[in-house]
Amino acid sequence: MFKALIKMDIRKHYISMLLWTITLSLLMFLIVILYPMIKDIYNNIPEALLEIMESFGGIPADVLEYYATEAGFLFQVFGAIYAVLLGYNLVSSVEKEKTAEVLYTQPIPRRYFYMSRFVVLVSFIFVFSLINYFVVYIGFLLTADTMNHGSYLLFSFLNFIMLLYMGFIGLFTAHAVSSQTKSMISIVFPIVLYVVYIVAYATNNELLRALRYITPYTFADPVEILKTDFQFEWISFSIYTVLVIGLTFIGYRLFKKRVTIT
Amino acid sequence: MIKVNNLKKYYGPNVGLEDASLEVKQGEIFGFIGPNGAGKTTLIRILLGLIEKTSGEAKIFDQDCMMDQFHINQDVGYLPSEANFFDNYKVKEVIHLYQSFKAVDSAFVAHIVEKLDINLEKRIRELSFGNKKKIGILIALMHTPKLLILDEPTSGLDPLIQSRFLDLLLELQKRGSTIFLSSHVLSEVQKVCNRVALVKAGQIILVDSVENLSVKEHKIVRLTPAIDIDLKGIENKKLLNGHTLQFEFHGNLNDLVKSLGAHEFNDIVINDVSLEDIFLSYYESGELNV
Repeated sequence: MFKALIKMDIRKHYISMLLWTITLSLLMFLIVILYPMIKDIYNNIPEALLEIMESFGGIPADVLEYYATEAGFLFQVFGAIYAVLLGYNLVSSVEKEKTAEVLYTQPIPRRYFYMSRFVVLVSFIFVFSLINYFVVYIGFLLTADTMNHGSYLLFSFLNFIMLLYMGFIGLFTAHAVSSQTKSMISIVFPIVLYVVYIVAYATNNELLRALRYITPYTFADPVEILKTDFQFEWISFSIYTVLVIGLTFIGYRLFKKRVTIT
Repeated sequence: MIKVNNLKKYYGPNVGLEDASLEVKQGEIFGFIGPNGAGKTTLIRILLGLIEKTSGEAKIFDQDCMMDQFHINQDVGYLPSEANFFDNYKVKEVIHLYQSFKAVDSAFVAHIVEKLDINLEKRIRELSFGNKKKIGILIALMHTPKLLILDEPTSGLDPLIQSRFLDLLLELQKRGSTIFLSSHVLSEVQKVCNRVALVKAGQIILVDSVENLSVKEHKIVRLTPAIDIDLKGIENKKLLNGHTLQFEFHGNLNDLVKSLGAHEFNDIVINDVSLEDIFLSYYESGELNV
């Protein structure tokens, strides 16, 4: 019964997962393989301009630094949007299509529905991250540039955790709002949290800088992990780990009482 | 099997159900009749734990109906008024999916597929409303549940399939199932139901057996000129326009025709007062006055 539910959810959502994965991986791949050309441009930049660029973090030393500054943030934002949409749609699609009315009256404990969505969410985000990891890695190999594979692996892992947390936020949001609410509501979270992240890093104001702890992008920051001396952001990670565990339990309670029919 | 006591459901300030009470006994087919928006679907969804009641009692198998009612659902089959399934599935895949959720008698599934003329190879998105309904019926009936709850089951079905479906209900009743169906098609209620409840604006205004209600069926006869007929079964004689006699006739029509044959009339009008008219009289006035 549980397997059947998982298969059902996989079948419903795998096409969108593949589309997001292929599109985003190809985009990352294209950005990465352009590095040799960009490197040539960097080498011919006039001294005066180089000095200006230094004040914005300087020229990337290798392909990994280039990826961190030019591609990593794109993957984070679009990946987070996909993750919240996936989490949200795992719940809301059966309600919007009105298949829930028959499905929820079958002799299936509600926790099975919840757990199956949990499993599918983790699996899909894992596959999404894994494919992207390999496609981008092939891009790195094609550039024939030196790179620290350990840093890339660490970034990919922490980014996977961040996307997972976003997926759980999407799952929770779907339980917290009415069944007729459009899924676009869920993308508010990755976008607002990214704006908070940008503001926190762009300011010298200490109070505003502290905002970086309330966004999950902080503990998976590609520039921090791939470019500078990496120091793990425990505070941001801990806040989001506790938050996601709490939301998962609250989400289950909401789901048990959820009115899916309007 | 089903017990509902003083059940209330409000949607904000709007009444869904108001003090509804009824009991469905084991083995009977119970019709729940009312116009659109009367509260039929609301009661059904409360019974299935799909929505929460405001107050009162709703029980199935002596267990309280509420959200997450896993144990009750094991012995219940449900057909919503609008049956929806996953668009990209083939019919046989939908059947296979729902078979994996409950213990199913494959021979009975094959029997329903044949009886309702279901095409297993089509995709759900290719099906009309009526054909989706047939899949919904199959899903509801496939595990020969102890209790079957059907919301407007025949809407969208063609007359032949409607008739076969009603036969299936009688077959299930013989197997021991109890059936609770909502409808506004009175002919189907009359054909299969043992008892009925009438619901109007969230209130149940009548619960009676179809047998008792059928006794109230009669003819309205108008004779011009107004010649008085003396025959058993004639009631409520009235003179209309001074030259037309109107009366109700509760009896054998052949006896009436024989009596009328002994006189000469300019005009004879005989109208049926069917169960439908009786119900309509209830909806309009709340009492039997047809």
